[in-house]
Amino acid sequence: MTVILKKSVLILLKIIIVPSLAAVAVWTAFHIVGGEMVRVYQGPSIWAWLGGVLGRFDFGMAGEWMTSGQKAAPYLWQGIRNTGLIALTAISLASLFSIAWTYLVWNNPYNAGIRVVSGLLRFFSSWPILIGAIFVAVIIKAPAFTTLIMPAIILAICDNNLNDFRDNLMDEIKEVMQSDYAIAALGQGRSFFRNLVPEIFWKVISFIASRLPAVVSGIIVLELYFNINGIYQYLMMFYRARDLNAILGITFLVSFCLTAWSSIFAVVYSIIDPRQR
Amino acid sequence: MAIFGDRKSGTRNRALSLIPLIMYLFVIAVSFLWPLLSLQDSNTPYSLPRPEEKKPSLIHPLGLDDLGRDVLGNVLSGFKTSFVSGILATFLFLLAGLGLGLFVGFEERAGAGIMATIANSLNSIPKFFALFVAFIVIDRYEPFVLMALLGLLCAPRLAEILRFKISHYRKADFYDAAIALGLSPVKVVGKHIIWYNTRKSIFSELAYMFGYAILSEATLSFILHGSMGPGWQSWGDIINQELSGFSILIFNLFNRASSSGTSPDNPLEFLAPLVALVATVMLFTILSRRLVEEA
Repeated sequence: MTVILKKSVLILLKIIIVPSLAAVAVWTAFHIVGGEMVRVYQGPSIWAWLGGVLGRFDFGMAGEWMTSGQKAAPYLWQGIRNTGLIALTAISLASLFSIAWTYLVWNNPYNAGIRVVSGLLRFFSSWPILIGAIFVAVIIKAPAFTTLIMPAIILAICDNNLNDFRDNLMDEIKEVMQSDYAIAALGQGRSFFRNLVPEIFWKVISFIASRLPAVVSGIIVLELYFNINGIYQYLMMFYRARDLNAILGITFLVSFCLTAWSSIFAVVYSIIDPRQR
Repeated sequence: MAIFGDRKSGTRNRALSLIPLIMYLFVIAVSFLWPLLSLQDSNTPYSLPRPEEKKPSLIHPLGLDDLGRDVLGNVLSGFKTSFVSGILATFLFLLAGLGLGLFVGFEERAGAGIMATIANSLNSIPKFFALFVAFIVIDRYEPFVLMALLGLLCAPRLAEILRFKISHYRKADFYDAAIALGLSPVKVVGKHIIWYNTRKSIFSELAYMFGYAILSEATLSFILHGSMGPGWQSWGDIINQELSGFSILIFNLFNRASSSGTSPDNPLEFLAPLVALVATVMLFTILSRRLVEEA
């Protein structure tokens, strides 16, 4: 219990320190390079800004990109929510596909059709997201991208990070199914769902936890090209409006969410799996 | 006999797999020499070509683009930009990854834990987000600076592999035996662990990084309309410029009635950089996978 408590305190510190450092790094970089954005900035200093964020979760006022007199936070959260939803949906689809496909291959090891499709999947997994997105955009036309589900499907199919993810996850699942424990359990006629699915489930969860940042990276093409209001679209908007306050805000929030995401899984995993302690 | 046969066929397969890489390097050499070989005078102002002039010809094998520039020249300048971007990113990836991996894995020093935390934090940053913020800070499209940053951001990936291999092999019997025979730990780690046992994993990561950097550069130039000028064009930017024309061409292909837009006179304007990008990225991704399988 003490170990978990100690870990929780460390994680709490981490989710405060890492985003703060990210915001300070971006602020410092802006001031080293100089330029128009720093000249037009009229907000508080970075320390006062960080004080406001950490003390009251106040990200200041929106710049010229929105009606003046509005808080920036709702727009920042909207960006995080949309990008997060696309990333989570895409990674969940990729996980479901990996499980289903591995199960299919496991049950039909000598099926020629499945082997051909496996080979093709492996070949196309070298394709970059950019190319996949362009082809899909050209063929099914851009309006389909205005919803969140379509970019998630495109991402699940085309993103090279997720292709890598699928390959590794399939290997992990195969490893579980080929383990002595699995062979013994299935040989004794025990339930597959009761004995092996929990083990596979935690493998999938740990994979999703560790790979989310990479998937968030791949959304950039879909957001900017198809005008989805996610973090990249807002970042572009802040850049055009020269709004340093909002750029600091989104940097802080993205770091905060990703650090919190991976940290929560680290705690949950250490509770479930004693080996992690 | 079987052993000789296997070895011969293994060597032959390896030699055959090197052919695409040699071809790529040849194209890179041509891309750097192209300004000297090109028949198009760079000082002549561009004149807008008529549709029939844009078609491929002996002088312009891939035809001309809308501005009258040689498409082959555009694609080759994209090769040049992507190559330099890839080299920069890969070099910094190797340098920072080796340094960090050796520091964390070679000796369990007091700072190793802090370095590992920094590496983990860097690893959890979405790379394109960081690159996009860097672009905003610089306030102009500088692919080489961005790719150098990408190399540094990805370095923890290599460091983690090195840390794992070093800590794994240091527990092996041969490590203790080598130290007992009087070899220095630096030599055992450098030669026996890194070179003999980890080099294929490192080369695989370098190939992956090179392809990833090329793809990242093209992606950024695609979304930011970024280019460094006539001699250093980017595939992503060319693809973006020609995308709408190509969309109309495909749309007309699937729908008998023609759309309202203008169909491109030379589809190679779009297809040539796209094929170059896909082929290059796939070459390095497949190379990386083969090295992983061999490792």
